[in-house]
Amino acid sequence: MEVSGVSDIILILIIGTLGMVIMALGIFFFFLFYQKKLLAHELELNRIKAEQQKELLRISIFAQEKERKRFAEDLHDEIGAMLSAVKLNLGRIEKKSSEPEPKNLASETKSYLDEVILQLRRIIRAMLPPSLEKFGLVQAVSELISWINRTETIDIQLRKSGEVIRFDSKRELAVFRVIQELINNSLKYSGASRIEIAFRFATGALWVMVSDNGKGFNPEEKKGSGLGLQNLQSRASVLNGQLRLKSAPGKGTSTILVLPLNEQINDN
Amino acid sequence: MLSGIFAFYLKYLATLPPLLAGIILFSRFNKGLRWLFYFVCFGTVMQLASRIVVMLGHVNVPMMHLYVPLKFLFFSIFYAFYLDGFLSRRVVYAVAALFITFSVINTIFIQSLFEYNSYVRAIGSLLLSVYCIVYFLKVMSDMQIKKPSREPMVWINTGALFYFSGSFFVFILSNLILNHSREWSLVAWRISSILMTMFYLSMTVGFILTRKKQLVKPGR
Repeated sequence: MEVSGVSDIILILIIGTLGMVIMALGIFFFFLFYQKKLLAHELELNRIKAEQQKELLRISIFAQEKERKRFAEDLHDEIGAMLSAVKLNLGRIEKKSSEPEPKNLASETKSYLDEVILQLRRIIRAMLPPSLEKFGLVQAVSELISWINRTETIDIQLRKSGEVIRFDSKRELAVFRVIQELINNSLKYSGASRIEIAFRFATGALWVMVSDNGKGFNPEEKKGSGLGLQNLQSRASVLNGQLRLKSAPGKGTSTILVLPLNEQINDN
Repeated sequence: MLSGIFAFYLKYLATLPPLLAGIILFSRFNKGLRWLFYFVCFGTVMQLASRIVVMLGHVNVPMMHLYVPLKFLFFSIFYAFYLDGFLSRRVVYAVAALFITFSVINTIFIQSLFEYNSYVRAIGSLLLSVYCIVYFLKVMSDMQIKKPSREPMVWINTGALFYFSGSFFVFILSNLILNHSREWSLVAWRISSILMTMFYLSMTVGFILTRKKQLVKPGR
């Protein structure tokens, strides 16, 4: 290295060291800035992906509901009508028969048929709550409850507060399905003697709470397995709502669904 | 008074914070950080030995001919671990082998045992600066680190980048400056010492951050 004197060397030292430190600073800040930018980009991609998945889920749920509706209508209009005709004919056989044996057989078959018709109605009701479209969510849930309470195996209570308002029928059906699933879970797994369903209509939001006095469970242990919890979460996210579950062994289970009411669902 | 305390810290205590942090948190370190800690131990021993040699009235320059290649070896193992998957370990080890060979050649033929090995140290710093930059590239490519300020290796690598790149001109010009001005030579070494102290402090922060972090083998 050819240098004329001490001042040149010092100058090279100062400028060189400063230059290197500035370069290190530049690399460091470039790293921070670029890293931040890449992360933001990745977050945006994840958000779009999640949105697409949500949309797919929404489409699949509505397709499922459509199919359920069609199936329920077919059951009601065709099978239901045929069973009614069979029941009518059995009644006629029962009346016209003079022999006691065929009369008894017809009567017995008619009572079996009544049970079949009742079960069919229950299935149709579960697939497509008849009063939901006409009278709304609260009425449909109330009918579902009275239907279950008839079995006298459990006591389900319904409470509501705030002014009941109707909203998009597809969203009402989706909320109904969530409540239906929660009641099913309680009936199947909790061993509860009492379930309470509470509706709270607030400005721009609906709160639904389903709680039971059953054996409860540890939510951490059940994460990602069984109980249809993932299904419930998916339905809640499609509704742009939030589902919060609280449970502990021996302390029952309560689930709260919070739903914004000023949104419409795109069902295309 | 203050500058005296600072000079004392630079001379004797700079390696103390990472050494203590390393002793306390060693069980939490992964293989890479363990090698960095071994370097801190080695650096502390060399610093003490160097002071003792000076106190006994001998020249400590020959020790640098051992310190520089070994230091490069420690950092090569450290970066081979952290750059794995992005830069082949074989490349890092091959560079280390070449560097050590160059260091021996330099000691035998270019800068004798009693002359400061400025070329070796400067080239070593330059190579390690490149590893620092490659590490940042790897992080940007992997996208695994969401919060850089909580990542031990980001702290350590940043300190290393400032130290190795900032000291490059001090190392390469050290013999030349010493020949012309003893005063400026001290200033130059003070700059390097400050950067080195910053590096040790960033290393300490990195070690401390392992307390809250599950360290796993980096890779793609």
